[in-house]
Order: sequence, then structure tokens, then C-alpha cells
Amino acid sequence: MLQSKSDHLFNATNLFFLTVIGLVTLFPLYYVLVVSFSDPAEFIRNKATLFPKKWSLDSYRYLLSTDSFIRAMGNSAFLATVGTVFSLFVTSCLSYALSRRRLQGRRVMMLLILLTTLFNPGIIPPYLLIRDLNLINSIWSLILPVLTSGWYVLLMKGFFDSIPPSLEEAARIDGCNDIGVWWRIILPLSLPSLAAFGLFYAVAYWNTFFTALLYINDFNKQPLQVLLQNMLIDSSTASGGTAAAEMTAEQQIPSETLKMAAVVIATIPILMVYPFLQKHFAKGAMVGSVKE
Amino acid sequence: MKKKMGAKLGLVSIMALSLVTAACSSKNAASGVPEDGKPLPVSIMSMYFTPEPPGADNVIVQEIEKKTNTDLNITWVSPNSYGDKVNVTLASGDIPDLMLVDEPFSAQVRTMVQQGAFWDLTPYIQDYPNLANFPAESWINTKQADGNNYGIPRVRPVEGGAFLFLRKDWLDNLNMEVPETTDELYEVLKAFTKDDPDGNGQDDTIGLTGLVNQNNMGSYWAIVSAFTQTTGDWKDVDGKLVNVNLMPEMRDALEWLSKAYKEGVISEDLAVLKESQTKDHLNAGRAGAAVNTVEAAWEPMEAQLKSNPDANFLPLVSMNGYVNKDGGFFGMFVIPKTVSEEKMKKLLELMDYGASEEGGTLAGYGLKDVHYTEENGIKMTTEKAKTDIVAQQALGQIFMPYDKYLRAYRAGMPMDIYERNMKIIDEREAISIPDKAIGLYSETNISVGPELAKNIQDMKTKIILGKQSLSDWDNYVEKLKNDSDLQKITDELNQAYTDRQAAQ
Repeated sequence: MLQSKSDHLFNATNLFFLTVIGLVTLFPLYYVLVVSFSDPAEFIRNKATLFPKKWSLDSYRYLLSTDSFIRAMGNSAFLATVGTVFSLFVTSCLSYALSRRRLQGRRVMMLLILLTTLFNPGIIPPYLLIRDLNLINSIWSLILPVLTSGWYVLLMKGFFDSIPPSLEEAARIDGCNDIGVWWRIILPLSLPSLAAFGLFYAVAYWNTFFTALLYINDFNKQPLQVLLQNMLIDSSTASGGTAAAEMTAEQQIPSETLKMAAVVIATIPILMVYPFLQKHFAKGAMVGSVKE
Repeated sequence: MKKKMGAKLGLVSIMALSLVTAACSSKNAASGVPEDGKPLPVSIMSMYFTPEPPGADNVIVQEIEKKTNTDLNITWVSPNSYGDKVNVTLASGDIPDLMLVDEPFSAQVRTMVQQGAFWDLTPYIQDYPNLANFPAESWINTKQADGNNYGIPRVRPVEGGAFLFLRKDWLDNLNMEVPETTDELYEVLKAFTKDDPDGNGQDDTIGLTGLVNQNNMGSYWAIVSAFTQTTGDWKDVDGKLVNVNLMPEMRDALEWLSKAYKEGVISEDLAVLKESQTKDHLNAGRAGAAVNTVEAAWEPMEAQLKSNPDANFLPLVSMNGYVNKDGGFFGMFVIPKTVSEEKMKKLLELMDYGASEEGGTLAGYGLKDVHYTEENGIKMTTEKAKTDIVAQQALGQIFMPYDKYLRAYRAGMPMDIYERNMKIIDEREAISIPDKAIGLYSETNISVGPELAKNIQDMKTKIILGKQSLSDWDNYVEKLKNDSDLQKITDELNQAYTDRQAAQ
């Protein structure tokens, strides 16, 4: 293809700006990584430059030797795996049922689901509900209320809608019942969307924070993000005698390198899931984009 | 049309339903006292500052249960998220028997006090000797608008709070005296910055390390207060509270700070600095002064002593003859009205035990010769204390006796430093100035105060950084004087101030 001079210029500037923006975006991540691998004592003395003067695995060694960090990792891993499996199960069941036109009361159900995406009850009513269900301090309080999202149900229903009904009829003729159709035909065909939604759910579960803060009192059951917040937040000094000033006086703040190592360890697992699921993204996210 | 109606009806009924359930579920837990001999169940909510909170099977928790015949169920919440947790807990109506409220004067707590959600402890306090022994300030400053005490203050000493400390060894190296005025302080900090106080031949030190926050002066309030001669934002001038920002002294303080910034005497990145970084500066021997509590000066000193045997961080007694007096509390424990009077008295008894010498030592230090050893009256914590999570930063946050010299001592501190700190606290006691506005209620301040504070601080930070000149500040102050919000806040606070004085 022939390119004019102005096209070249446009491409060059484009490339330049995108590279700059890319580097600016990457730098904080890179900095976190470098600091986490720096020698703690060296870091205090000289701060990190583009490259640590003295490499050290001390921060990682310390983190992985603490009970609380390992336990919090375990809790988050449990949330991410068990939660995702349950969520996918519920979401796919619900949206498959809703995509079948012979389901009675389909419109009412859709309306109810739609309502959940429009109105947010706030903090207190869910808290009261969880409390009355005796789920306070149970890890299930972080899974059950968010088992499915109205928005994802609608998206997935769109995906199921695009599967031709004749396929289901053929399966029925071969002797499949509803569950059989769902399990043997629909789900295998929906792998891309399952992968995409699974990733969404996994990320959400891995990042569980605020609900854990409210519902979980037992420190041993807290997920990783809560522990991270405890580690990372600096309470700043305020004028004499106020709570904030007291806090800094009483709190032992972990060193910067330790914090960064914690950030890296907390990010890596979820980062590693992306490459494996990414290939399904295009298909999975396309759901519902074609209307018949 | 019909369809739309149906949807609307459905929506309304759902909303109504949720309201009803919310109202129903705020049921009161029966809170009877068990028959004789059986341990009293007590639920507590508090915060912890240790890396991990003590568990239910903690040795000391069990020991306290045995001593007081109680069954403690403690919910530990991280200080970083304590505010959220308090809000949910208060709103849900499911309040523990003893709950630490970190901000006793927040709008929510005030409303609940007015609604009678907590026990008024005023008539009962004198029956509990250890609680009654708390400093008068602790009780006075936690009084609510009606002049009654609705909580047990988490007692803190009133002397020895955050103020300036600086490196005595650097002063000695430079043959300088301990500064007593802000002018002398300036000269000292300048010498700390320019004259190589650590004698290593490198220009690698600064005078004062500290930060400013978005809505207050951060660490530099100590400098500002030395100029305004008052603690906090309000000064009593002839019986009336005046906002310090309108006073010419504030201008002098800003002039001092902007000059100090220009000459590199204070932290150059003060607007983005973090608390941990200022500690790093001190620990690494790169800064000569900071603002923190008396005993906190030991922390960087201990770090420096490893490489420099002469290191010596000296907390200053006063600056321009001023030093602050603290409020004497760090939040308070409230008891909900759902608890019976009989149980409420038992809870006070429990807190009274915690405020006794015996109870406080047990909670804060653990068992003698197991969790701590004692030498010359100084308690040294053992490794076992760490693994068992026995610390003043954990259980000591709930059960703590009043100790005037709490801010003098920190674990591992040598005797001579401890004695020096006690002397500093005694000297401060004679001259310290309290914050007159603690606990005064102004409705306008709650709604627009934070925004206003941010706005004012924004201007101050710009002046310190040299982005605005002092004449800009003069104009700004003129504008502030006519600001209707600030006038309203001033009026409301003064009303509350006279009311409180009349009540005493």
C-alpha cells in the first residue's frame, strides 16, 4: 500500500506517543518490582534507581515465612477457585434457563435480575442480611452474596441465545433431557464465554476487599487484600492528640521493600491467569453482539 | 401502561419489604447477667497495632477471663479500616457490650448519644477507683454536648505527645545550643543542612523531615503552633475562640516555612512524603529533626546507634515557650443501652480491673518471667511475648492503667534515656497548652469543615512551596474573614464553648 508523507508522519508520531504512554504506564509496575528485589538497608540509604544496587530476596523470604501472609494467600486462593466454580455454575444455569423461550415467568425473572443491576441497596441491608444468616465470620459470606452478577447473566444469556435452537432439538431427539442438553451440548459450546466470565469472576474474588472488611472479624480468615491494605496504608500524622497521630506512634510500619514484595506476590497469581484465558476473550466478550 | 404500573408496584413493594426487614432485624440481644459463679459473656470491639491480633486462645485473654470471671469475645479490627467498621456496627444496631469508638465526636456517635443508644456513665464512674483516677482532661474532653460521659476514655497521658525532637549529637558537633525560639531553631536546622553535621564530608543531610497532608499541616503543625502559641486550629483570645488562620502569627509561621523550604532546610518533597519515609530519613541519619512523641525519638536513635555510638535524639521541652497538651484520650469505649444496668456495672468493673496496675500489666506485658522480665522497674519483653502476641499495642489497647510517663518509655530503652524523658515530661507539664476546641460541636463544621480545611491547606502548601507569595496569603485571609461558612463555624463553636464552660 502506498503511503503518503503525511501518513508516515502520522504513524511516526502515533508510535512515539504510544510508546511514551506505554512506558509511563509500565514504570510504576517496574518500580514496584525493582524495589521489592532491593536490599532493604541499601534501599533506605540510596533509594532505588532504575536498577537496584544490591539485589536481595530478603523481603520475599520474610513474607513467605510469615504465617499470616501464607494464610491470607490461602484464603484468597480458596475464594478465587471455589468462588469462580460456583459462580460459573450458577450463572450458566440461570442464563441457560432464561434463554429458553419455553420457560414460564421468564419476563418477571428478567425484570428482577435487571433491577439488581439498577439499584444498589448500600452497605447496611446486606450487612443485616449476612448477620441474620449467621454468616458473619464465615468465608461463605464473601461468596454467596456475589455468586452471580445480573449483568453477566444478561451477557451470557445473549451468548446462549446465539446457539441455534435446532441443535437442542437434535440432542433431544437423541434422548437428552434439559440437564443433558445443558451439560453435553451447551456448555462445551460455550467454553470461550465460560473462560472469559471465569476470569472476570476470578479477578473479582481475588480482589475481595470491602466485604471482607465488614463481614469477617477473624483475622485468620481475612483474604490477601485486607492484609495488604494493613501493610500498605500509611496513617499520616495530624495535629497533636488526634487519632491519626496516635496511630503512627503506635504502629510499626513495614519497610518499603517488604510492601512492594507483598504487592508483587499478590499480583502475580492473577496476572498469570490472563495469558491462558486471553485467547478466548475475543469470542467470549463478543457475546450478544449479533442480533438475529 | 398496565405493564409499567406493575413494574412500579413491584419496585415499591421490594423497597418497602427491605425497609421492614431492616427495621425488624435490629432486635435487641438479651443481655442478662448469668447466675452466680458462671463467667459473664462480654463482647468487645477494638483495634490492634501488632502485625496480627491475639486469637481467642491467647494465654493472656484466658488469664484475664479467669481473673475477672468473664468470657471475652473480642473482635479485633485493623486501625486502617476501623471507621468503616464502626459505622456499619453502629448502624446495624448490633453493638458489642464494649465498643471502642475512635472518633467520639463524629456525627453518627453524636446522633446515637442523643437518641440514648449508650449508657450515661457519669453517675457511676466514682464507684470505680481506677477509672476515676484517670486524668481530669480525659474525662472532660470526652464529654458529649450535654456535659455527660457516654464512654470510658481509652486513656492516654496528656503530656509527652508529638512535638519536635532533634539530634543533640549534631548540635554538639556544630557547637550549637539547644534552640529555644523559632529563630534559633531555624539557624540550627540550617546548620544541619549546610554545615555537614555528621562530619562525613558529604552534603547529604537536611534539617527537619516531615510532611503536609491534604487538609492539615501534617508534621509542621508543631512549628505553626510555636508561632500561634496554641494547640489546634482555635485559640482562646479573651474568652472567645479565634481561628488561627486569621491571626498574623500564621503569616509569620508561613514565612518561616517558605523560607525554610527555599533553602532546603525542610523536606523538599513534603507534599508527597509518606510517614514511613520520614522515619527512614531519621533511621538512616539523613535528617536532624522531626515531630513525634517523646518516646518515639528512641526509635531512630536505636537504629542510628548501631553505626554511630554518639547518636542522640533529644525531644525538646518547648519552642518559643510553647508545648502542646494532649486530649488525654484516644477514642472511648461505649456501652449500648441494650445491656442491662446490672451487666453495665459488671462491664465497668471489668474495665476498672483493666485500669488497675495488675490488670494493665497483665494485658500490656503478660506474665512475669514468661513474657517480660523486670529490672530496676523497667520491663523487658521476651521473644515469647512476640509469639504469644502480648503487647500494649494489642490487649493493652483495651485494658490500660493511666500512666503519666507512658510516653517516656519504650521497650529496650536504656535507663538514662528513660529518666531524661521523664524529666522532659515533667518540665512540659508546667507549661503545656491544651486544645480548647476538642469535642466542641459545630454542625456547619461537620458539613463544610473538611472542604474548607482542604482549601486552606492547599493555599498554605502553595505558599510553602513558593508557588504563591505571602501577599497572596494576605488577600486570602481577607477573603476568609468574610467567608460565611467560617463565620458560622466560629459562632457555633463559640456557643458550644460558652455552654461547656457554663456546665462546669
